[in-house]
Amino acid sequence: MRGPRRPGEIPVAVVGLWVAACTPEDPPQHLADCPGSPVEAREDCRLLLLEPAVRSGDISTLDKLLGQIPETESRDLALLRLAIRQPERASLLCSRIREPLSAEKCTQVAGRPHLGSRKRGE
Amino acid sequence: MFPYGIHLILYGLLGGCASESPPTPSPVPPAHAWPQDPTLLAQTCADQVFPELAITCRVQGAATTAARGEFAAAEAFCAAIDDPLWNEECHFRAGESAALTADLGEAIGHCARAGRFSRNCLTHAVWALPRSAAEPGPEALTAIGEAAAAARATLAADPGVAGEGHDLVLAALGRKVLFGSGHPDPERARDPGPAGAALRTGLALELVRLAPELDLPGLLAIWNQERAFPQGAPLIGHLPPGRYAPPIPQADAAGLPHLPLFGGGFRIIAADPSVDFEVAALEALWWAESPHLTPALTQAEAATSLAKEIRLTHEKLRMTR
Repeated sequence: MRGPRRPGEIPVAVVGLWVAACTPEDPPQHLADCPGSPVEAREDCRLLLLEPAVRSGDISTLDKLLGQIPETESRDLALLRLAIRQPERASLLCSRIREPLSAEKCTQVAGRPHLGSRKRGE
Repeated sequence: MFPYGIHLILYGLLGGCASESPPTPSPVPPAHAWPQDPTLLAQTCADQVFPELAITCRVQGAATTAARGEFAAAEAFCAAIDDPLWNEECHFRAGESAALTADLGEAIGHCARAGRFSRNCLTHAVWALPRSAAEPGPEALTAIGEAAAAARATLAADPGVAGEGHDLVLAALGRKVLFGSGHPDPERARDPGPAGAALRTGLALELVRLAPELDLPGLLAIWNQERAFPQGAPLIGHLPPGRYAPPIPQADAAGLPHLPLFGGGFRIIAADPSVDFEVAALEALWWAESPHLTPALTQAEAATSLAKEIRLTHEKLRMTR
């Protein structure tokens, strides 16, 4: 049997509720749910939400999602990162980058078409 | 329900959860060009917050430093990339760039670690080797053979790539002995071995480069010492690319000795140096897009006593002219 609760002691159930409330929720399903900061978390979140459309080649969904990102720099960053992660789609991704320096970096991927070819045996 | 006013504490705790967003979003740092200085570049790559940008930064670093002959720095850039695809791409880029400094051993060392891209790397690197003022003469056949053997040893982990690397080095080093020399003396290309065949490729290319008016009989007359060879200023640096030989396998030529050509294709090697020179001459006319190629092929259609190597070369060039 538990003894009487001492003054100031937080009940176990309350701690459980607090932990549940502060545990990260399921990953965001929409770009609007991505955190505003820190910048790394926001950009990672956006990247993960864009990636399935790139992987499946669903260009209209990709463009729709890109249209929901208000900052050009953020869009360009996501496109460049996606091109490096999925070089077989680099041409498509690089052509959507607006800022010249990011576009040039992306060309380092798109200009190397062998990167998108599969390894022997794959 | 909650004694001691614990609900107030709970609200306070919930309000303090870290998932709350501030009202104004943080801006993305603007893109910067990668610095040229290798130390600064290494630091810049290490400072990248996003792993993908660190990868492309390091690949760029490896290519830039290898092209300057800073091979230790190039090694360090590639070693810092864990992703297998990009690690191989890094060595590919470093191998290509190292070739620009004429350091064949360094280039092949990187190509050996380029994994799935080893063949591409070798082709790019070996044909990119510049022609130097101190190009060895044909007496350096031994040195060319040794360089090819060293390439095979470096690439030994993949026997298929090792054999290809050997042949590429032999072909590329042999070719630039006379191609670009300004002095295509056929006496320097009569060795019957495979390196001799590579020299004959270069001899024929140089004759056609210096004297585009030469037709097949003219080229053969020079080989047979019935006519003086043309001379001109030597070429230093990159040799003219000419027409790329497509890597189209020729079923009838399967099993015959062959030599890689610039662009990925092959030419047949004949054991008899004179027959082999005619093969090389036909390939050179094709390479230069000479108007004399078509007559050479047309006239040969009537001939019945052509060597097999020449006949097969005619067939190949007819398909691609």
